[in-house]
Amino acid sequence: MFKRLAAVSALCLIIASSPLTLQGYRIAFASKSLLPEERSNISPFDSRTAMSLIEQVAEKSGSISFNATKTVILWYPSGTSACISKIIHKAPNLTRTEYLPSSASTCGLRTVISDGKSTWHYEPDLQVVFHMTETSSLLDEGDAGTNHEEFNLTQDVSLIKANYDITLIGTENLAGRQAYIIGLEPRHPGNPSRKIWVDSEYPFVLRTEKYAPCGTMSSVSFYNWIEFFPTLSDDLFELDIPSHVAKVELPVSGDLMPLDKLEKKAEFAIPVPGFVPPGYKIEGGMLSPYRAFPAAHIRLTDGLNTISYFVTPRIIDGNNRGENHVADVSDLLGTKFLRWSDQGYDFTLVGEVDKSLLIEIAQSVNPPRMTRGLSQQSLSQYLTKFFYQMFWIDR
Amino acid sequence: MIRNMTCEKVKSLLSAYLDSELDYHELRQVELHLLDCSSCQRECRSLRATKDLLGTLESPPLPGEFWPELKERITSRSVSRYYLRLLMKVLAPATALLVLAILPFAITTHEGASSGQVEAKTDLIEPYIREYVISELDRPFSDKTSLGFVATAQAVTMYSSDFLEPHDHHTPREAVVTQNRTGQRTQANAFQRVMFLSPR
Repeated sequence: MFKRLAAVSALCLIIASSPLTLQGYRIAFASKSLLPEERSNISPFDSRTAMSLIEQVAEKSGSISFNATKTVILWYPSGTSACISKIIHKAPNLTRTEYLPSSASTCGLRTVISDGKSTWHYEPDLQVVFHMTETSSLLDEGDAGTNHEEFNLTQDVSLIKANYDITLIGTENLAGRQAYIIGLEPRHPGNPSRKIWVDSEYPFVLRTEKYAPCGTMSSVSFYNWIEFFPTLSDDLFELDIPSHVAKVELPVSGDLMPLDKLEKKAEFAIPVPGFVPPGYKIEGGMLSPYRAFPAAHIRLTDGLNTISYFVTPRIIDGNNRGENHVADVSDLLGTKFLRWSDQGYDFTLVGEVDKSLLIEIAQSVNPPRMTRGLSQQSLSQYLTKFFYQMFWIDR
Repeated sequence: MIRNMTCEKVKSLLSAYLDSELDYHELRQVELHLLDCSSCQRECRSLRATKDLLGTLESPPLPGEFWPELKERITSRSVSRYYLRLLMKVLAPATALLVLAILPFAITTHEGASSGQVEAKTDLIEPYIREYVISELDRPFSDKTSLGFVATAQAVTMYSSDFLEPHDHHTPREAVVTQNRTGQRTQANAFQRVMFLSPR
């Protein structure tokens, strides 16, 4: 708790001393707010209003241009990570994000520019620029890419409504803006919950607090300063790359596809988990773009969260290595990983859900059929091997 | 951070690799190295061919004196085994105590509570994190700033890690002319070797 307070205080100091504040940059907050009028009409706990806001945010937040400064703090078992970023978004799809160097962040200046078709990520310290084509731009001309996205969005919002209790908690002033506070509590145990602050005038999320399934806060992100609909030149979304900078082409995942199609494309049998956590659905799969990790990636979602399930066959000459490997649950940046190997496959589950859910999914994968807890099973194997090696000489 | 295996190291592990005797960590590193190193690939193919060839050879007939000699050797070892058993009677209780003392640490380490272990595993997981995070970006209420921060950090980690350094020093990096977003023509190193970053 003390560490969190210290991190937040440090960030506040950094923000207060940022060049923008020192230069007295004029903050043109929208003067008109609909909140006072609406406030008298809504009940603070009106879930229909909350639902309506959720729908509007999901549908329209991308269409709002803004210029802002934002703070992100992530908490995880081994520490805290934080960054302050300058974000400029010109609707519909031009975004420039500068992750600023700070004492709370280990990275130097990092600039990311996206135009909806590709993303350029420039690391001046490393003298490298990463380029990645975005999936939607890989669709053929005339492909109903937008409809596909809209379909996913509608589906996600339906899932959120089905899986979360959405309540309007109250209102608050944030970054000079009035905001509705909306709580999203999972109906099924083992899932993270969220609170979001939605601007009263525009369908835009000003602050997000994320809580791990155990109830502790895992991340918070909020705008320190925001200006809606500023005048933005397209030049802001150009990246000047010095001539000596190396360019790295990052591979791109394909589009989501049904599992039968995925299996055909993968050219290996994909063991699908028999257990899908309550409220989740398998939304499809894709092939990992990494040649050395020719994984099939199956995505499960409850509308708000994703669980990624990767299946990787051993890659050299398709040798089926008989020995199974120890399962391992680890936690990195608040995300849990469960990894195990069996029958010539490596399996990886990634998600922010409780690890018991990940273990249950893993146990339902056939093959391997695991009848006991993974850790216990692996530990018993480990100990058997240990004792065997210790006493073999007397046999 | 995982160190790249040298060709020499990989070649020393090839036999164990072909016999499926490597642990997970070594296996991944050998496989990653093999993807890019034509010299080790040749060595691997050659060793496999030798192993296959040996496997096809018929077993030569045993000489007539083999079994009597083996029996004699086993009998002569029984005396030394007596002392060995005596030694074990003394060692066994001590070993049991030692195991009891080590067991709690072994369990803790096994369950991933050891940060060292977690670090070792996470060295191999960047591509998965990145894929997961990119998937999360599609969600309507995802925080794109924090996800972007994690995704870009993973790209940097992959680039900075030894995975991304040239494995095969015989192959010079190809210089290409590319174009940045401003239209400025740029001389840059092609990053084709990017191991698992090579497009499928």
